[in-house]
Amino acid sequence: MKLIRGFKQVKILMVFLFLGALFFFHSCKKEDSLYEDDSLRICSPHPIEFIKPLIENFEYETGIKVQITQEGTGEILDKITKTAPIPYCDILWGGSLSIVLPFSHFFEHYQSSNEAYIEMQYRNVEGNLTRFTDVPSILMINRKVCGNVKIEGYKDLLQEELKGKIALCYPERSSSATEHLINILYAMGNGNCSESWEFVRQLCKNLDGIILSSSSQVYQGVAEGKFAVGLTFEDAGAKYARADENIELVYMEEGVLFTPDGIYVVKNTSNREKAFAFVDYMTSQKVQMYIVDLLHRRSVRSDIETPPSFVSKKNMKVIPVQYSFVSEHKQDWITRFNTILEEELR
Amino acid sequence: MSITTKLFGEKKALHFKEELRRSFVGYAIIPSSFVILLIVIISLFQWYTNVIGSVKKDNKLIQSIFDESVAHYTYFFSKNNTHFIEAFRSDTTSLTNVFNELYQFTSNNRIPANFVLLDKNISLLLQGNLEDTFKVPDYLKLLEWGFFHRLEQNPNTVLIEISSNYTSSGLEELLIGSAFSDDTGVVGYLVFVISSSEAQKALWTIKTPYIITDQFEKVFTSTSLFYVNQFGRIREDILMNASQNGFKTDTILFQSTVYFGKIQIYTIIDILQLKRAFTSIIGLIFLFFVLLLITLFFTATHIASSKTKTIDILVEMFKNVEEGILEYKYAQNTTIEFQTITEVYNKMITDITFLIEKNKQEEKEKVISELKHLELQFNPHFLYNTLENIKFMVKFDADLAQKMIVSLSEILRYSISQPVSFVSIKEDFNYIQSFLSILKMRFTNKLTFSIEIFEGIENALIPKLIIQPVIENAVKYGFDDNGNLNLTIVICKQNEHISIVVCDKGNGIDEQELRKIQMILSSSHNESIHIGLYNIHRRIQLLYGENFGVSIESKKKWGTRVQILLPLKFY
Repeated sequence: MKLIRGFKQVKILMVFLFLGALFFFHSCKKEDSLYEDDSLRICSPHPIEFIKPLIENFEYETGIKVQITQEGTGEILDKITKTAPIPYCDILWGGSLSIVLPFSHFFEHYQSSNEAYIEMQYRNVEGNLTRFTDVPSILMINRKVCGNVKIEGYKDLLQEELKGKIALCYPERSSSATEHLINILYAMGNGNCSESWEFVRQLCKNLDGIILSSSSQVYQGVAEGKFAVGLTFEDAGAKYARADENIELVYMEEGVLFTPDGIYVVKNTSNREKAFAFVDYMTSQKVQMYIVDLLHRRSVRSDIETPPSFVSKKNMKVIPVQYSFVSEHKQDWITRFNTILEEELR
Repeated sequence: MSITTKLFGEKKALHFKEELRRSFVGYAIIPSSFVILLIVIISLFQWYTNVIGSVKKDNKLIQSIFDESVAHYTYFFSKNNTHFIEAFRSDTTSLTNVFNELYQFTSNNRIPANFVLLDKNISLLLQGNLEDTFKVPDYLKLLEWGFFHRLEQNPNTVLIEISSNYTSSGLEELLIGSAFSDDTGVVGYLVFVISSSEAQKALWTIKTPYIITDQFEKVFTSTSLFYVNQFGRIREDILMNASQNGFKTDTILFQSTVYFGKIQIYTIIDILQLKRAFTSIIGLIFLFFVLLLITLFFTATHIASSKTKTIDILVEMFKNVEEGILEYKYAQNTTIEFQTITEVYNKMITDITFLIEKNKQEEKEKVISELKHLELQFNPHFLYNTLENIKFMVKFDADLAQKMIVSLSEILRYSISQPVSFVSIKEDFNYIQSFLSILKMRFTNKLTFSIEIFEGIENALIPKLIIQPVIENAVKYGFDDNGNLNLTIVICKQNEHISIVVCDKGNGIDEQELRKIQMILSSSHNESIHIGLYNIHRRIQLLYGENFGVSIESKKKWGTRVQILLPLKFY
């Protein structure tokens, strides 16, 4: 009895220690994570080297902190659709108009302060689709690989010498490949016609079973000499063409499809003002000039001249396209392409 | 309090062994859990102070280094720098002076910086460190772009930016610069350029991994590229999965700012390994504790039972005494205390046994002497009466007198010859015959009697001289109104007992007298005149116990019946 009572003080002490430990843990746990988020969340399919200088300058000049994520256009649109009406991000920066058009109801209406300087055909007539740059589809050629094979347009891709040396990505995985598919359909026939699809079949045959899974593999593959020719977009190829004399850009003689990409403010964003500031900034003259001069993209502004490094639109056959029609049928065309591709792969 | 006491109170009836065991366990569990708790708390505290403390301390240290340096450089711009404006006008003398001034100034700093002086067209005038060449890309001169554009836009304001545009190394540099202007506008630029390698050199004492960024989390320098994402910023997931204490996260991160938040300093430590180590240490401690408990539980039981074996034996010894078993003596090979107890116990047992034996002997002797005495109390009246009769008979009938003398001598011989012994019923019957014949001679025809002995019990042993006093009692009370005495003596077997019944058909004993006799029979002492019946009763009870003895019934005009109950014995 005495023995047990003797422990009472020890027990009380232990209880106090236990409470002390609990308090210790509790007080430690009160602190929150350092991460607070009032920055402008931007998702973009643009390449890193494209994103980096623009965002840096934007931040330093406006003082708005940006949180940037690089993802494919399809992926971003997917996530925006899933999380809506809660915005997945504040801004979708990039993504060609023909892809984004069916999703336009997810985006906020805004007319940028630079709208008056935008070329007429690239005006934000929908109200929520501000155009950012103008991107033509091109063929990127590595002379080292293709030698003297003459490539001036799509028809040259069917040559026996290029079999298995053509870099193309799944249209469903990349907007640039989708643009090319649309370009082919319009250039090789009169839109969605049997002639065009026959060409697609021939092209698939000449792929010799090789099809890539991302658009970056196309221009990188050509640049590295894995492929002779790649179906890609202008600025991706232009970067390599400037650095390497073996790399050439070909504007298809059958016709070139120009598709603008845009800056889209996601609905219900808590950072509206910052997002609008971003749209204004990115369509401003100095930024568009920088993009043209250093990032090799065509501007959508009418007050910026096409630099000599780009082939002028006047010197090529530009295919006029009704984007709403294209985006409406795009999915069917991709499905049809896949069917043909599968047949040819077999 | 009261509940506790009550609970403890209920535990009182524990065995000494169990209590001993519990106290062993109690003495071990409580201190060891206390020690373990202490270890856990101390190690947690150590952990906290060491890890978190160092992250915090290093953060403060970096902050102070940067604070000092940045303040130093920014302060330069607030001084009177009119001579700089002269220098921008490409005055060679003032350029040399400016160079010397700047050279001295930058080398005095904790984080040395390169300094760059540019004219209003962003053309380089001079720079301090020729190895670390500062170059303004041509496009920046044409475009409204970059650091210098912003300096131009905000003349006489100090701007701090991180950029890799102005170096051939491609590494980020911290630019602290300002545009100088006069009435005509911007005349030139002065920029202090801190390279990340210089910053790292200044921070060589810092053990904790660190990241230094601008206000947009663009990384200037860090101890590992692991923290930097593809955009040159701190990886978001690191910031999201970090906290200042690291209890919920695997990363501890402290943040502080310098120069109005323009520079941010993060110290970061990955504590996953530490956490694992800590968990395994705690686990080991608890494993040890559990093992200790198990071992202790068994050893405690063992020790308790071995140490209390002596007590168990003592308890058994005393239980034996309680049950009356006094034969055992225990040899003990234990401690002096228990040996003493055992010795004393043994002596006590010996003494008690001796005393009991002595007592028994005395009791026995007392009974024998009493029995002898009782047997010897032969009724003197009978002798007197018989002798008177003989005296009378000698005159009238000499033969009969002779017969009476013979019978009397037989009776006397029988009663004196074998004191305290048992006789067969047959032998006693002979004696009764003699006794009755004398009485017959005395009372002639007035006395009639019959004796009936059941078959098979003739040889059964009974104490001698137990029937005669009953007959004497009948002679005393058994006569009827006509002076006749009719005696019936029946000796029979009743279950395993012998029943001797003497009946008369006389007037009986009056009620008061009867009650008196019955009372005398139930007591152990007799001081009355009813010696005869009491003597037999006492003798039987002494010999056979209280279940046996004499009982008497009597009724007026009906007679008296005396029954002697004895055990049936043949040897």
